[in-house]
Amino acid sequence: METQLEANHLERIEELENRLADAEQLIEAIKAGEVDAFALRSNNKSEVFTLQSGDYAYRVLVENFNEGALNITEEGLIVYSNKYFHELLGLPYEKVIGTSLREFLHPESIATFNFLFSAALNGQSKGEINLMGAANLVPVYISLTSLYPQLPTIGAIVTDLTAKKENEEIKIYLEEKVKERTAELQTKNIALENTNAELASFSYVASHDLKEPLRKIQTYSGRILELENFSGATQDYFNRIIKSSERMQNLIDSLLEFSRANMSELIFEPCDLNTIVEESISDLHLSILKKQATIEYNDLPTIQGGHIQLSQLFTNLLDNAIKYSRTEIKPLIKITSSIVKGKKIEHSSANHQKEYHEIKIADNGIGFEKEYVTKIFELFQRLHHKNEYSGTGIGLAIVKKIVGNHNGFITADGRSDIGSTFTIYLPTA
Amino acid sequence: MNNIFLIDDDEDDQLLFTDAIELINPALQLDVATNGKIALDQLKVSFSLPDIIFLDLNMPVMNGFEFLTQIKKETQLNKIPIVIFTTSNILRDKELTKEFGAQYFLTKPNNFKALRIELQQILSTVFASD
Repeated sequence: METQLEANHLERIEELENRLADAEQLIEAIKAGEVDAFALRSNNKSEVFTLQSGDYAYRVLVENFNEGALNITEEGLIVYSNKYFHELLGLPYEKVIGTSLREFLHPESIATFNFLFSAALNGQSKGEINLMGAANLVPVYISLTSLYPQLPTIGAIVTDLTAKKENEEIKIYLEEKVKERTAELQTKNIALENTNAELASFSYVASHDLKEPLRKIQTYSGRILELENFSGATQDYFNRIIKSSERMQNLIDSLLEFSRANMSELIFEPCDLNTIVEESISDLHLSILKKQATIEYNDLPTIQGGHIQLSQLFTNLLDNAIKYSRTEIKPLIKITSSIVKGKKIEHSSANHQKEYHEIKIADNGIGFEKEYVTKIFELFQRLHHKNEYSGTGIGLAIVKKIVGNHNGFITADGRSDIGSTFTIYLPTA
Repeated sequence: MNNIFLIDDDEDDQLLFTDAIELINPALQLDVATNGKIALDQLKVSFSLPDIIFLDLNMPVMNGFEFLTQIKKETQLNKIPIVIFTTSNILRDKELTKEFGAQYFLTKPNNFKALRIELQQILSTVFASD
């Protein structure tokens, strides 16, 4: 009997020793900060005990969170708010704590909030709502989590969406602006195309109709000269009328040519520039003979372009070179061609991704001063008095237009009394 | 003597044409109509048909092309040589009028002397083959 009792005591002692060891181990762990909370069972129910030391890190974290953190009762009362949240509303801490979160809702957000809140009572919910701060409306993203059964409250994380909304608004505003501007540009483009087409047909019709009365003036003047025996002075005046009309006719013809050099009449096909130069030389046969001009060219490329326009391009350039030759020296014109990379060309129109045919037309004529480099391509620009050199001031404008029609560009280089070089750049593909 | 028929609505061109014909040969007969319709009506009832017709292309009521189409159907008239007399110097017009049955194409020159010379050449070619 005594041994039985002894054995029971021993067993009891062992059990207590074990429990004591467990407790010591727990205390050691708590001392070491390894335990935040522990649960004890009492009255058949677990109860959680948190430790001040363990809590501390979380308190610091939540308090300094860069998001709003709230603890809300099931009725909606705010029992905890971190610094961020009351600062977000622009209200002092005391005004927030103990107040219902509903009081800070924008009227339009009440329904959404009620929905989110009742959903959160059974778990979690997230959504966008608007809060009313002291000074302004604050759009936020709120994430609600029921803390039940540990706590009879709901935790909330509140993210400020002000900057995001502003960005969105700016983005929407900018998108609308871009749309507006695009539409505007499209309208302007259409208007411009119409104006261009109108202008082209206007200049065509105008020059065509201008020719009629001019022809009459010329014919009648010629008729009068043939019919009557006038004094020398009158004859001279009539000849001057005829000369002026002829000049005007040349101008109109050139204008017609200029307005004909349109994209709309351009059909791209492979054009052998050797053939085209040959044709231009045969067109200019008479003036070449008269000035005893020599034109050298070889190995010119075949390019995609409009045959008629390219033909006119070379005819105009060669005509120019022959016309503006020096009296003391026979014209010598050299046409050469090579391929260059776009990035090697010093010109604003050069596309750095492309390759170009660089076609040079160099002469030994009267040249021109540097300051006229761009001017010579303008319509009706003449560098010389019309008595010195004939010309309408349209030829090079046509040249520039044709090169542009072929997606290229042209430059001019000249030195007085040494010569001019025109360089055409046409993309290889 | 030879008869010439000019169909042209332009008064200046009528005047200059008449003048040039007068200088070439004052004995030449010249009739003028101001559009294709008038000309065709006139020709259908005429006792003495012209030896040559000068035809403008751009005219009101009936233009040169329509006139060419109509006159081809008239067996009495479709043998008369026709010279197109126009301001146009477009190749397409030249080819088209040839297809329509015109023999010559004269672009109205802006020089009276040239007009006279060219008219003279055409007339002498046509009348020589008579």
